[in-house]
Amino acid sequence: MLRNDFQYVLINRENNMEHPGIDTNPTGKWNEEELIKQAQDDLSKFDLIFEHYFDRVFAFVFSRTNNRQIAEDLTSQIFLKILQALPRYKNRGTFAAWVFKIARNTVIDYYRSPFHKATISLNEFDAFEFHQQGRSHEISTNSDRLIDLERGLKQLSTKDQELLSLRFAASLSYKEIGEIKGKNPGAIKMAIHRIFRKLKERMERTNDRN
Amino acid sequence: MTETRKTFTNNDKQALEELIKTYYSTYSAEPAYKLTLINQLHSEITAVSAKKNRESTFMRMFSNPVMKWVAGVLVFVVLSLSILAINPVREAIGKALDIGYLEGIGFVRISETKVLNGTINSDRISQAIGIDQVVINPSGTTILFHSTGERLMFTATKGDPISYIEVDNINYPVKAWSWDEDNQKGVLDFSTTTLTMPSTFILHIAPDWSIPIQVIPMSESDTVQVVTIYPDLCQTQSGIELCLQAFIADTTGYHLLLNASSLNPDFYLETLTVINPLTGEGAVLMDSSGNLLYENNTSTPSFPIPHETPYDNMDSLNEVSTSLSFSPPPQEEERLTLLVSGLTVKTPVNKTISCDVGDDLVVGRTFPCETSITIGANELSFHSGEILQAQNRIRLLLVSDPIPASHEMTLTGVDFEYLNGALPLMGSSFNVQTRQLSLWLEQDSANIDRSFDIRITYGYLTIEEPFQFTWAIQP
Repeated sequence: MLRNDFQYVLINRENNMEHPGIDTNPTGKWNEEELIKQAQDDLSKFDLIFEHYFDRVFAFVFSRTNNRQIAEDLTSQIFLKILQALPRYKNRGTFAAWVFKIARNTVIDYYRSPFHKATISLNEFDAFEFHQQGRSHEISTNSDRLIDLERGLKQLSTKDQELLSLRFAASLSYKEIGEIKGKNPGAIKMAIHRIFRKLKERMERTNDRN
Repeated sequence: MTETRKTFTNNDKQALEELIKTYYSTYSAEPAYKLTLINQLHSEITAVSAKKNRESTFMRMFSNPVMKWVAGVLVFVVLSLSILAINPVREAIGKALDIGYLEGIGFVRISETKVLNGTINSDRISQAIGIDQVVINPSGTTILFHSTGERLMFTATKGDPISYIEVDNINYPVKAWSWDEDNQKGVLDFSTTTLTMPSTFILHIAPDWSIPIQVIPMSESDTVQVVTIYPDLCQTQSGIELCLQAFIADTTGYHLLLNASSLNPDFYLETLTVINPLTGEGAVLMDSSGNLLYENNTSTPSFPIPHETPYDNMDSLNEVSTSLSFSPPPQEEERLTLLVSGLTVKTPVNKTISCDVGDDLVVGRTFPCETSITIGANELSFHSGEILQAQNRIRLLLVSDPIPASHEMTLTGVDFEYLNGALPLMGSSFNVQTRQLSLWLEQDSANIDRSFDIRITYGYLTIEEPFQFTWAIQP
């Protein structure tokens, strides 16, 4: 009973217990390599991979699309791709980098798709309302600093915004981002440091103007 | 005007990092969506596991030395029979290649498509609607309908309701819609895909007008139309193989499915356009004597073919399809010829151009922007840019040197991205007469970066050599 299994996982994760079907290492920590091997042999264990990555993948996609409904569609596609490709996965780098390569490419494909271009042609007002769906409340009820930050983020290049999404929405390490972008971790760390500096300057400039 | 560089301490960094973390934590999913998704994935797990088991049984079978010999002999027999059976026209049922055809939609992959099993009619006091077809596949949901009575509106201004699909208490608004006044027919598009859509859902057209809809897998539907497949009608030019894969005739015309694949790993085949942008010529259909029957200069959007090992080479799709439609050929015709005058494909470039606009923003002034890039044997050189507009909005133009004609493929366009601050409006165009490529950027004067970088991400290469296919029309 897969569904019951999943519910069991949810309940027991909340209670900080281990899933009975998954072998954990002696420290009881998340043993990703072992889990992936087990899930490749028995896909019913895919639930734990899903649980571990769902929030991070969704946050990454939502931050790249700024649209809840599109984020849901793309996240569904991403997990289906991961599930279908998992039996063929070869341990060539970190698993997280592999997962987010799939996520990143799905988002890129979305922006290239004729569907995305058709969406832009919709009534601008409706599109704007739709665009804001789901997050305006969280932002508006939070501090002014968050609003300044959002403005600053919007002024960054797509490349910089993506780096921040990989680091903070997807919670990836510099090494994992480096694998995705084909760069060394030091270069990623430096790039993010520069983005921080840029962001701070832009936020201060906005404040000075106000 | 000099700008003082502000300090950026570790405390600043930590405070900003905390703020960014808080910001990104607002991007969270609805618990209902998460549960729906895991349930949908569970049904996929069963299918993927079954496929995996079939593959392992197959592989185990061939690990046996006796079976290897049996397989070898079988392959030899099949190959011999195939050679003996060679015929100018080979036929197969579309299903064997997983291609089906839906009137009003076009060619689709049968295995990944859900459709309606018959028209649904619904009416109100002054309006009536007939849902003729619902097509759900990985790229979205399309609903074809006809309507009589008062005209229907599907998107509206602020405050008014809009049409949406309701699935498990979640509403998905219509993304685009169109209406053909002459035929009283329309199309609604939603972003929901095969994965997010169950077999039953509710379509809400207007306030209090709900239509329950049930779809079935296309493989179980009577609407699957057999298409004729030509596995051997292929030609290769400049490393691109183009195949005429299938054709079908319906009430709207004669439709051909073309498939292109790259034999060169450097060419990124994301889109296939069967128009030669240098001459404006598209594809033509000719009779057996070579007389022109019909012309098609409107290449339909292509759809990518799912690849076998998608994540080994994640940044490239190497196979794409497109369909062409013509008026039905005269009944007396026995053979037809399709002449495709050119193809355009996309290739990765990833080269950066650095420009320095300077402080003096005056219309007509030029600024340095030196670069030279080779894209598929075409040399693309820029020396300077020009300020075209300099008031509230700054408009900049970069024009390349004329691109020399290439024997293989001609560069006819690029995609590019802006690597600095606020994203400007931007675009590119290719002048066929002067063979020059132009890039333009337009930005609010407050956001202008005095020096900026743009990256040419992709180049569009046109193959000008024609592809020609001749085949017999089936009785």
